[in-house]
Parts: sequence; C-alpha cells; structure tokens
Amino acid sequence: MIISAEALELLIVAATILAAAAPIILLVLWLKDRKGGNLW
Amino acid sequence: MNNDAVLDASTGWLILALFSIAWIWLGWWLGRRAEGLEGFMLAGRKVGLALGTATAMATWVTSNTTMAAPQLAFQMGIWGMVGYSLGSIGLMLFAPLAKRIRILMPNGFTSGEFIRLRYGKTAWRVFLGISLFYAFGWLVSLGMAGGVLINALTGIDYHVGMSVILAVCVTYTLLGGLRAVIGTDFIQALLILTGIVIIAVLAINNVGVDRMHSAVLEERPELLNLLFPAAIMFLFNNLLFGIGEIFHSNVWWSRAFAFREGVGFRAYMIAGLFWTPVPIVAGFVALTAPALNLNVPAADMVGPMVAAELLGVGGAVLVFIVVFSALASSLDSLLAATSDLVLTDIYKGHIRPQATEEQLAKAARWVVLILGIATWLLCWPRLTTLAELLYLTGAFVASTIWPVAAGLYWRRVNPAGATLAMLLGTAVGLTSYFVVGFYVAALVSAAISMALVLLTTWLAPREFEWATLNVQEARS
Repeated sequence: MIISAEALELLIVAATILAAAAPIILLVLWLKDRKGGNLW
Repeated sequence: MNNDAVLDASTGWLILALFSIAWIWLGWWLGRRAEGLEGFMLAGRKVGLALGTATAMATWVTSNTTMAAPQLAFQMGIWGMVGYSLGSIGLMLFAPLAKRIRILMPNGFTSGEFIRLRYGKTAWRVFLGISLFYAFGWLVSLGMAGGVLINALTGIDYHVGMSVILAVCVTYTLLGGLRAVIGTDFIQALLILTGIVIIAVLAINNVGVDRMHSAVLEERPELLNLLFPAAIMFLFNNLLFGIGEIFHSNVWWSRAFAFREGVGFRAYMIAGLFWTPVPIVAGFVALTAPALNLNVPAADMVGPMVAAELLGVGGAVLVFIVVFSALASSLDSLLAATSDLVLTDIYKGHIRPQATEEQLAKAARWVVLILGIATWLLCWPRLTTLAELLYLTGAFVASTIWPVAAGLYWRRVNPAGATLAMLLGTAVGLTSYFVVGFYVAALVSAAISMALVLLTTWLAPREFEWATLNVQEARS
C-alpha cells in the first residue's frame, strides 16, 4: 500500500506549516509573559 | 580527521567558539538572579508559559531527533518519521500529570522524592536505580553523539568536540542552574525550529514532492509503503519508550516543579503539539536523496548531505547550528535534572540527611561538576556499547509508567505491587529485548508492570493520604 504523492505532500506541507508557526507562537507567548511580568 | 565532513574544520571551530561563548555568557547572565537552593535547582518555581513551553520542546528535540529523523526516514520511510513524531504523545500525556504534580507537591524537588513518599524506601531505591541508569545512559549517549556529530560535520577530532560541548554545558549549568538551562533552551528552540523549516522549504521548492515521490518509488518503493512491518513495530515501541522516559525522568518532573502554578498543563500540551512535526520536517528531506542523485555512504549523514546539496556551505552551517543547539538543550537539562536527583535522593537522602539549605546549595554545584566529569570520562573511550545502553533502557523506563501514573491518581495503589511492577517489568522487558528484539522491550515491560499494579491493587488495596506528599523537608 503505497502513499500517494498528494497525501505525502499534505503530510509534509502541514508539518512544515506547524513547525514554522511554532517559533512565532513562542515569541508571542514570550512577549505576553514579559508584558505581564510572568516570564520568570 | 574526517575527510567526508560537509564543513571545513576552521568554519566548524568558528561556529563552535561563537556559540560556546554565547551560551556561557547567557547562562551567567540569566543565572545571576538565581538565589538559594530553589533558585538554582528550580528557577524559583516561577517559570512562565513561554519559557516553559520552549524548554519542554527543546529538551525533547535531541541530536537524535535532528540527525536520526532523516536517517529513519531513509531506512524506514514514511513510518520512520511519523513513528518518531509520536514521541510527542509522551509530552502531551505528561501535561495532566504535571498539573497534578504541582498541586500535590507544591514544595517538591524530584521524581525520586515522590516515589519515596508515595511507596516507601524500597520502591524509592528500585526507582533510583532505574532513573540513574537511564540518566547516565542518556548523558553518555548525548556526550558521545556530540563528539561523533561534530566530527562528522566538521572533521574536528571526536575527543575535542565531545570535550567542548560537555565543558560548555557544564559551565553554564554551573553558573546559572535551571534558569540558565531554561533561558538558553528558549533560544535553542527558536534556532532548531527556524533551521529545520528553512531546510524543509528549500527541499520542497528545489526538488518538489512529486519529483521526490517518483524518484523514491523507482529506487526504494518500500519507503513509501504504509504496511512496512519493521517500521510499524518501531512506531509502537517508540511510543511506549517515549512515555516511559518522560513519566519517570526528573528532567520532566523538575520542570513541573519549576513552572508557575497553572502553567504545567498548557506548557507540556503546546510543547507536544509543536514537537509533533519536528521529526517529519527534519526527516522527509532524506527522501529527496534519490531525486538529487546523492550517493549516501552512511544513513546517519543523509540529513547534512541533503542540506549541503541544497544550500551549499550555508546549509551545512545551518545543520551544524541546529545539531549543536539540539545537543546543548538536552545535555544541559539532563545535567541539571540528574544533579537534582543525586543531590536530593542520594546526597541528602542517603549520605547527609541533616544537610542545611546552604550546604545543599553548595553541594548542588559540586554535583553538576562531578556529573560532568563522570560523563566525560565515560565518553572518552568512545565505546559504542555504552551508547547502545540507551536502547536497553526502554525495558527499564517503561516499567515505571504505571507506578508513576497510578501513584499520582489512585489512592489505593499497593506499594509492594508498584515495587514488584518496576522490578519484574524491567526483568521481563530485558529478557524479551535479548530473546525477541529491541522493538518489544518497552511494550513487554509496560504490560507486565501494568498487570502487576492492577492485580496487586485489586487483591490488596492500601489507603494513602495525598497530604503526605506536601512536605518541605528538602529545605529544612
């Protein structure tokens, strides 16, 4: 049972988008924590 | 020297020197406000969501994730990288446990302390044996991986590379304790994620998924097979191994103690979510090797080779930075958490029960240093058998899943049953490792341990007062 090129593309693109969003969300959380004095 | 290195040694030295200085300076700067034992060991128990999420994620992204994910994709195809990404389930399952740990033990220090208070001294000693064996296995495998990877990427001698990475991590952990570890983890998480995404986007743009799919289908169709048996077995073993590693290890418990109230659940859940795509993004680039006509001499070098082919020297530099960050973020966490365990459960628990907070704070730094030196000595001979110890630990750690989880939620768990579950689970798991294969060790160990915890609790339930866990003895 071979994975199709479309399914493989979906898997790779979805994973890449999530991984690309992660540093942005981390920075947003950092700014929010810093503003609220909750960093440490 | 290594003639197959993708970077020249002088570039390697430059990156190594720059990042070493940066981590040590950051460690000192972040740790300068760490006061007392709690400040050094647990960052004052006030770590917020951003730093909490980043440290959980970066610690779980080891050099294995960034280097072995492409290797697994190259050897086991789709299930290799998807199976690896299921390691995130351990982080997500630990999220409710982290919340519970913080509520039950607001003054707790280590996972060992929980086992002692919950199940008594025999279970505690069995657990410490398992936990320290695992911690040393992981420390030595990371130290050795550091030397091997630096040598493979830059040609710098194994002993020099291994010594530098260990010295850097020990120095900044010594200077700033958990604050230094968590602060550097945040930056390392950003570097790792950004680096792997850049390489992935270039692979998608330059090669294309259609071309990659056709080339793999022609040369190695089994990698695209969704019913690849070896890969499916790897998937289940990796899942249970990961859960066992996270549930018992003080690396994750110390963070549960260090996070602000209300942060643990969200931090581990978001970290798990962010971690899930990492092995896929880092791994799929290996599938472009056939389309790029790359001749890969060793499967573990496929990631750097693809990056160098796509990006030239810049790609190799990027891989080196990602790998160095991944190594440091795990090594520092492991050093700090293992030294907490040695300090609280061995030094105070067994050697100097009357030690004051000041004496413990001083001893904490000595323990980090001694642990670093012990790891360095064990890594020096480059015995591959030592690195392989980590595979064996699957049988050990999986046996702790049920005693830990049931002990946190069920009042009536039988302490003798929990002890027996860890001992017999490990013994039968190890036997199956040697008789059947590595892929069943964690599975068998977890199954035996579960059966024993359930059976003994059903036959002979024991009452337990949750308030017993809320003590301040480590600071007395």
